[in-house]
Amino acid sequence: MLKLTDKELIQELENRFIENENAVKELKKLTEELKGVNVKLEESEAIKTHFLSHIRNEIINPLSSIIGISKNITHLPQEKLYKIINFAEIIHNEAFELDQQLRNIFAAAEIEAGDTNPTFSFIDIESLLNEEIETYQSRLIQKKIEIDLKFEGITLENSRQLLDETKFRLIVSNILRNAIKFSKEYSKIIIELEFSDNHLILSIQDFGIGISKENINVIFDRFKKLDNSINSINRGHGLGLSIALAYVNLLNGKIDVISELNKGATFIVTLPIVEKETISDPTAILDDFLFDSETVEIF
Amino acid sequence: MQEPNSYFLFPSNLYASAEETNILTILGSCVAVCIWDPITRIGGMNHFMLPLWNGNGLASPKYGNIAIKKLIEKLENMGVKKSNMQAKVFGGGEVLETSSNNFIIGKRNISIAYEMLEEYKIPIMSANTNGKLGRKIIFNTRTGKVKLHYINQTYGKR
Repeated sequence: MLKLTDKELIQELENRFIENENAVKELKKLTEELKGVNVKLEESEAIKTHFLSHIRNEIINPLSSIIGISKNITHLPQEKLYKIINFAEIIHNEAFELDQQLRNIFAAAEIEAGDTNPTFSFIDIESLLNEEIETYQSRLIQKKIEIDLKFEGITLENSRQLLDETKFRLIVSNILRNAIKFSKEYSKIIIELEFSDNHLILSIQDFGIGISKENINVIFDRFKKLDNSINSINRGHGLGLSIALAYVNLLNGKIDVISELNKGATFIVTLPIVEKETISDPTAILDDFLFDSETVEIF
Repeated sequence: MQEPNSYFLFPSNLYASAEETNILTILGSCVAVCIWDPITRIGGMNHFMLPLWNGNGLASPKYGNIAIKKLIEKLENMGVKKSNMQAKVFGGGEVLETSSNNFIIGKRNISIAYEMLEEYKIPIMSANTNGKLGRKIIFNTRTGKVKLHYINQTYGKR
């Protein structure tokens, strides 16, 4: 039997106390987390019910107006053909809305199925941003919002970067869409792009209704809309930002949000610049295994 | 002999195939669970970063509890019986200094894998977890064999 001195005994006791204290702390933190999850579960049930009625509104309403208006066009008398332009604009807007909704629903389904491997290719970021802004042109004119582009230090060379185009487009489009949605009439949106420290930083700032401090953490939750009333003038079902965040995380980046209620919000997307050599190439990894065969273990 | 297809699995994703495929991934504190059926010789792998989905963001396979459930469901859809499934668990290293943190992500990732596989009654045939190093693994979906290669810290950030 090992004999312990008093000193060692006291030391051991002290250690045990510290361990105990840590365990209690850990337990407390876990209980807190659990409480949070519980609340969210309760909410999620309510949201599910809401979601169905939202989806119905979001998909069936635009479709009905597209069907209705296109039918109207076919019955237009010769002398009223000039109205076609207006009708076409409505059809385009509704179809555009529908397209966005469906893209988000499918993207969310893919993320939740774990089927979102990034595929990188060289794209011109500046023209991609311009294209995305262009798609929202009619909405911008409608709300009389001015877009202020700040592409300082962006040259023809550094504007071409390796990116996952589809994912980056959806990230930009969802954040921009929100910025327009929550902007007031006659306001502006500042879009800033810069490269620093091997990172691409894109910030989109609006001067709309803003987000309160306690709500900043929940805006990325799925199906979360801060204004949950069915007659809300703002459409969408709260998938956009959760998709943007999931994609940014997948690309090893982050999204920061700075906002104050009634003063607007700034979303800052930071993505690492990908070098061609660092893209995980399966064959290169396989080669590692071939050449270092003595350090390979088999399970 | 024809070389099998290779598939690089990114974090938060999962992949399963009935064709012979080498699924590759790189692990730091993340955990990958490989599930294989010796009868149909179909296998799949996930790669999760955090143990539990807490209701934040989307319910994606970034989280262990979702990634393991989804992988099992995917294999079942491909015709694998749950009673035939065998599992192998890798990763969960402490590649980042987390001494100040009570919640060592790697350890929690490993324990969720063990808990959930036990719940689903899927036997764990082998495992290589913990430690300070990152890992590269290749899982062959036809043979069910996993080759593992340790890598130094700088690669193992995920």
